Amino acid sequence: MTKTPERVIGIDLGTTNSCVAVMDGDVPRVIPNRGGYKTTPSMVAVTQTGKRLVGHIAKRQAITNAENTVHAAKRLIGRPWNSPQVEIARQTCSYELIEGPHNDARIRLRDGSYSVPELSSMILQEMKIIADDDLGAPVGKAVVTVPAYFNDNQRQATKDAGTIAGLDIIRIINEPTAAALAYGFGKSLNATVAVYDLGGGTFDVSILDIADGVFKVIATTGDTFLGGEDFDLRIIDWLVEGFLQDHGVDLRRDRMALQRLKDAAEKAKCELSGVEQTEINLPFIISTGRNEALHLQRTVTRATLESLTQDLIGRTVQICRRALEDADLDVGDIDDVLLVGGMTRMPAIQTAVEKLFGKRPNQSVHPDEVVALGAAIQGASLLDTTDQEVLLLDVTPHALGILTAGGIFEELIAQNTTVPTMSTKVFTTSRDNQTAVKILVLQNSTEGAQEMLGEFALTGLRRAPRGEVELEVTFKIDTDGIVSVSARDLETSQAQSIQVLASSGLTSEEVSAMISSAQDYLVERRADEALEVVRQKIQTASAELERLLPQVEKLVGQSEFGRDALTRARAALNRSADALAKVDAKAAEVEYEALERTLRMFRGVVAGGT
Amino acid sequence: MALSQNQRQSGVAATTLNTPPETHPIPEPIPGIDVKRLAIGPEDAFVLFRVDGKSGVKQIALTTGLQEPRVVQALQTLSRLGAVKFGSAAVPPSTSTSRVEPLAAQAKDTAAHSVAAQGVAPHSIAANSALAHSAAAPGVSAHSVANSVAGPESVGLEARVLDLFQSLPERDFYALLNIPRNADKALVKSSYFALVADMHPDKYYGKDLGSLKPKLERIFQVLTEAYETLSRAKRRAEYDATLAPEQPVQLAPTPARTAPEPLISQAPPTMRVESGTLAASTVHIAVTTPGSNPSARAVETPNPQRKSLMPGTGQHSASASPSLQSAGATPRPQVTTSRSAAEVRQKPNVSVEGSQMSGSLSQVLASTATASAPRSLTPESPIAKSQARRYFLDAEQHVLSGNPSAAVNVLKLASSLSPSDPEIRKRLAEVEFEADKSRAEQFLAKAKQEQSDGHFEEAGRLYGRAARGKSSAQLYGIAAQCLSRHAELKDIEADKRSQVLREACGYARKGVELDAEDMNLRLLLAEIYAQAGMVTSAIAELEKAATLKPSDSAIQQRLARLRREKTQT
Repeated sequence: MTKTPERVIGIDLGTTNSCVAVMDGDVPRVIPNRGGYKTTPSMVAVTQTGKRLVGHIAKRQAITNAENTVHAAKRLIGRPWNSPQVEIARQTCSYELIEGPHNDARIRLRDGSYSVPELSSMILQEMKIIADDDLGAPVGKAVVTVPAYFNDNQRQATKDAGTIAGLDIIRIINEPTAAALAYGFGKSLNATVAVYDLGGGTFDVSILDIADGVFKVIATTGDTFLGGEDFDLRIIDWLVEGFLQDHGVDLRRDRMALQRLKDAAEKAKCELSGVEQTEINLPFIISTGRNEALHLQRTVTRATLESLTQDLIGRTVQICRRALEDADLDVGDIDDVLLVGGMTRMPAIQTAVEKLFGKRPNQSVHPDEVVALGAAIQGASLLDTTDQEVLLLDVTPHALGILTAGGIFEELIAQNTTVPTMSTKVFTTSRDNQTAVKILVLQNSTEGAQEMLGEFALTGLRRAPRGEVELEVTFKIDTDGIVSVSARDLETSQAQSIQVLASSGLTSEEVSAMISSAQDYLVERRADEALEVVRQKIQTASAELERLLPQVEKLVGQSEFGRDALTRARAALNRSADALAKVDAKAAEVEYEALERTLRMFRGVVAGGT
Repeated sequence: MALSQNQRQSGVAATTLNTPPETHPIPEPIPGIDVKRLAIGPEDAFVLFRVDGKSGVKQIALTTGLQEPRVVQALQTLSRLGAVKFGSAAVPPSTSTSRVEPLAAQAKDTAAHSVAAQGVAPHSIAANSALAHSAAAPGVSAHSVANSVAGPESVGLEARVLDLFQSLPERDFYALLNIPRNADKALVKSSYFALVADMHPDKYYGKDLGSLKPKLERIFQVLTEAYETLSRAKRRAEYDATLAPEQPVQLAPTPARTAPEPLISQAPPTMRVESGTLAASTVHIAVTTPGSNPSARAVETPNPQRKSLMPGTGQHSASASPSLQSAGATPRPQVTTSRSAAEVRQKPNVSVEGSQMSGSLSQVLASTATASAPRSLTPESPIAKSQARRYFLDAEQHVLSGNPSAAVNVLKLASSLSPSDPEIRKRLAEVEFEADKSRAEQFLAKAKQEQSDGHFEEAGRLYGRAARGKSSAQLYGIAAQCLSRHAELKDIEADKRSQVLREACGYARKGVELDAEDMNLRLLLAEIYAQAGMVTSAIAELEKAATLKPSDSAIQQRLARLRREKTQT
């Protein structure tokens, strides 16, 4: 055990830029790339000669080789081909998207087609090379960050990318958590912190409790399709619309023009954080059919940008409110607000955050580098178990559950549950003589959209009336955030399980198609416990009442009052049976009380009569 | 089988030769053992549940009703599996060669040479080599953190995890976080943060925690649940409302600081035994009654030698939380062996049944547990309820392994802890029925025996159970007759008499329900009603009989007589 501890790097795999960091002793440090830049564009290109380019060099040639240059691949990772996000990308990206064999999106570059994890792996590999060069030895292990709101598929795909890149990804952590870690590392903090992370492609808010080196996420939420790129798109749209009006030419049809517009929009956006107005000047943006060259020249003011993106900022504020609500906290409970991600340099965003939280956001952390630093800290902390300084307690951003009869989502693990965690529920068959169930594993986002993570079947059930065969379904999320699901037939102990490893999910349309085609396979949540309790009570009371009825009839059946009481007793019996049949626990409780009253009276009558 | 025969014989030889009597070491339980995963038989399990760190072989023999050699043999097996250790006194009698049980031999060495005085084995080379042996032993796959996790702190970890894991069901959230009921939010937070810094799998990243990992994760999950409940005012208020007010806060010491050095050589090998082996190895052997065991009677007087060896009596109890054994723990209701022994003697019917029916693990569980668990827990408290749920799940295991009588016992236990749980009640009724069904023949045989001996009360109840198992109206009738006859005995008390008659009515009514056409049963029911003084019911029953068979003059006469009786009163 005398050999030096293994180095582990932290990689912030961003939508637009990526960053790599390492621990030097007790100090985390960002590793600059060969050009001396601390961040590297997350861009990959293939040249005419088939050469692969990554990073700055890919960005520099992007205009001349727009169709073969990939940017923002992260927005597509782990997304099914027919998802709305891929649809949007198809319309706005300068590169060509094609459908892959597993309902995933592939990107065509020159003659080859590449899967999204493959392209991400190229960026990860570039980051690894940067670290290898700097450290003078190959690095094998890495902690990679993802947006907190990434789902299981997206995390898994990111992990796959690491494997392709030859890196052992020892942990995937959430970007805002990493940022909080870098912020709190080495300080003796006891605080509740909100992290507002608006990156190139995603937006996350996390609220953490920090004390004694333990970082506990209380709540996390976000939007994986809201980021700097969307701000750029607003500027592009504005430019394209203006150009269309001026010249009657739609710049969107020209991929190269689109790439130039994109570059210019991004540049203008960044400039407007420092100045009040800037000029967008794109000569020879396109040529008309008559070989007439057209130029684009417009002035953008900060106010214009703010009015164009007002709703986007509004959305982030909404999401922050939701996070506070999920955490069960008021704005006053937040001790500090961290701003992470390049977009948070925008003055309008800083103002919006300040207005929401009622305090100036903390700008002591570097918005582009803090996430990678946090990843490096976590990596070193995991490997160095003798002197572990930090412990991250993160949560699952999505609710997880299964689809039950009637297409109802039955939650097993709630959103914002601290991992590792485990949950078990008992279900029953939903049809008579059902011998198999298909367990459809879903995740539910706050917006109510459900995405399928996987499915498996449990067969060989006893033939029995519906509701009799009981199945126990267990969900487990381990420390690595990997979801596994198992189902067990409680009668035979026969079990089936899957580790949810699907690389691309299904759309809600497919899920609903499955609901209709797979009715046989669905299971039902066992009747509510409250109902069970009252069912027992009603059954006991009914039995006694039925037993007493003939005696009471004999004793008081002659009088009008007696006949009336008997009629009402029979009605109460019927009503309670009805309530049970309708599975209405509240009504059943009411009916039970009526039964109990009747029963007391009958008991009195019988006792008096004999 | 030849092997066990051999063991048994040599065991007998050893005990008979050994004088003075109490030369056996006092076996001690090892906390954190998952009994269900051990490849042991019901008798071994029975013995295991009587091991409390105070009882010697003789006392265990007394309280289990097993022969001493059998107890010795069981202890050997349990020691080999790492479920008990021998903390003091002499080497256990040599019953088998190291060829068969290398670990047992090693364990004996360890116990004899290095730990006799303290009762705690140090982390020794001997212990490690014992482990290595057990890894090679067939059927038992040893797996220990000690093998894969380096450093003394991880050894402490195992003890801490097992301690905490065992005590999870018994502690409320306050006790878990080690804080008083009135703790403020800051204290809740600091306590939780300090605890999870130790109890999170990431702390041991890269180390093969083996079977500890799921336990660690479970502990972490429960601690987190406790924190999240207690740190949010609304949820805390809701939770507080569910706590029984008289429940004292058990301030356990922070496990990280005070946990005893664990005996790593014995606990881990059992962890990986596949669960299927229990069912396969469960052998039904008749349990001998304590009363019929002469050697057991002989030890009713306390043994002075044993006392002197165990000055710290009361530190261990068979099924109590191991975490609370550590020094400075809150004293809790103790389950002393002598007390449970007394109970067994006072309730001969418990063991009578065991002697006649197949003895099984469940009966073991039940008799042990009835003696311990419910007494220390307030029924319906959250802790009792969670314990009840655990028993409930245990019961399912028994049902699945084809042992409904075991399930019945565990369910009864669960029911006593959580009487209002409808699911448990319902399941108990179902499983009781199953159990009766499978044992109906035995009940019947026993019932006939009792009847011929003139014990009508016992016979009646046994017929009743046989009838339930076989759904036989005739047997219900016989059951009712037996009880009715018992009620006629001269020296019976009035209270007892009416109770017996009520039972008889119940059986007769069930018989009538099963076979509505049977005139004799109906008449029997009427007679028992009459016997119990329930003349109205008797008349009603006879009237029904009369409508079924109007020509029968005997019925008419009886009816007329009863009506006269009624008008006279």
